[in-house]
Amino acid sequence: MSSTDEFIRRLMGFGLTEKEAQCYFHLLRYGPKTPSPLAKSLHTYREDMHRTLNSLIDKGVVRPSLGSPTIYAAVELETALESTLKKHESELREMERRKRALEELSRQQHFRPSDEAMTFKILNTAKEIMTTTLPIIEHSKEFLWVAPTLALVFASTFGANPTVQELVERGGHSRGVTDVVYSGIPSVQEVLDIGVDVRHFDNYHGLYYGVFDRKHCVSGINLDVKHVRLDEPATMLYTDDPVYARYLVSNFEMLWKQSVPAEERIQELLKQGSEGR
Amino acid sequence: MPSGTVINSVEDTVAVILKIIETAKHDIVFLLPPSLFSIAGTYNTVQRAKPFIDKGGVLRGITVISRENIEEVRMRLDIGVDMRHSDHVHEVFMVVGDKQSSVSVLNIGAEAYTLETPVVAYWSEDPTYAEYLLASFETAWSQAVPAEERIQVLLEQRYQRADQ
Repeated sequence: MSSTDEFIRRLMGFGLTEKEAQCYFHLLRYGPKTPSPLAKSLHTYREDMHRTLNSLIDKGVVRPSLGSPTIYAAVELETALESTLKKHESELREMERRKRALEELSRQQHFRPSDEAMTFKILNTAKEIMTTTLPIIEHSKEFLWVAPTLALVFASTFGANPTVQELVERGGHSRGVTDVVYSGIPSVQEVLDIGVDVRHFDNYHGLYYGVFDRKHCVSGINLDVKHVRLDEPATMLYTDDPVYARYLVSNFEMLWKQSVPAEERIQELLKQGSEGR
Repeated sequence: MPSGTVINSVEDTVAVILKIIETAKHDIVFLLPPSLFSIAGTYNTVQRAKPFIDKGGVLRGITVISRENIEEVRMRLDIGVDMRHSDHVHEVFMVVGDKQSSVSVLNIGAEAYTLETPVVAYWSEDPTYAEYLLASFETAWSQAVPAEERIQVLLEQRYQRADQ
């Protein structure tokens, strides 16, 4: 490892990112510069350089000039390290304070009456998932879900949709986020037709989860479902922990805000489809 | 059975990660996007993990290793963290200690995390929940590439570019 690499590595030990360390080192060695030549020397683009320089200013290791164009100069090494150390120490103190506050919060959460005991249970097949969730839907007023279109095919095939329709008919409501693709339009349309409010999320990452009355939840990671059949292996977690439900609901609402109405997406896909023909 | 805690900021999530590192005795695993990996690094996670590893603890981690974070990864490798590279899209990011304590964040499409990124994480002490996360981690681990191998590839690419 060269002495430059070693120097940069040591700077990173002081809380600078690799980019920040390279930039500071460059200014220290070659003197004050404007962002454009600096970006060129460090093989990056100008906006990225601005971000790095602003962060270095926040950390007190780079100073901008007052005139125009702005020239950025490295603060003397000893002063810069002292400044970084102080900022870091104050951040660590803040982090320690947060950690203690969270520990206290966690301790309080653990004191629950025994009749509120929560269950976490692993479900291993599509059948287990259906037999666990259907009775819950039957008694729920709200059902929020995030799932790919394949899950909607499951719901249709194994009779979950009439149960959800009953939920809607007795005044409950269901909202869901999915990835609407051309081949999945009939399944999405079926769910829309029973009164479920469905949205399309563009950056969908294969999440599967359902939350019933903000208490009962099923969630799955890396579900690799290949066939629509009840004995298909599929590992999901069931819990009736309202805190876990709150976590899933909060994420659901963030996804919901970022997504678009399914009807809109379906029209867009149909238009693309007819233009393609 | 103890319930979990909902965490509403990246800073609090890092505070929980620090707590997991400090209290674990046997094993810790993490699967983090590079931005969170980098943020955690600025809060002395490396220095805090060293005593855990020195006492025989096993720390395994997965992130996306790129030219931008080679040095950060090397710092972990140097203290004995077993690291792998994976650029698959993961649905949940997590840190799990001693198959019990965990903090997890759903991947809902944030391109890069900063301290200001809105986040809702779940901190749990439930072993069944940890088991559920670990099953996903082990799948990702088995598909990931050892960090040294990945770094070698990145360095070769760098030398090839310099030659051109």
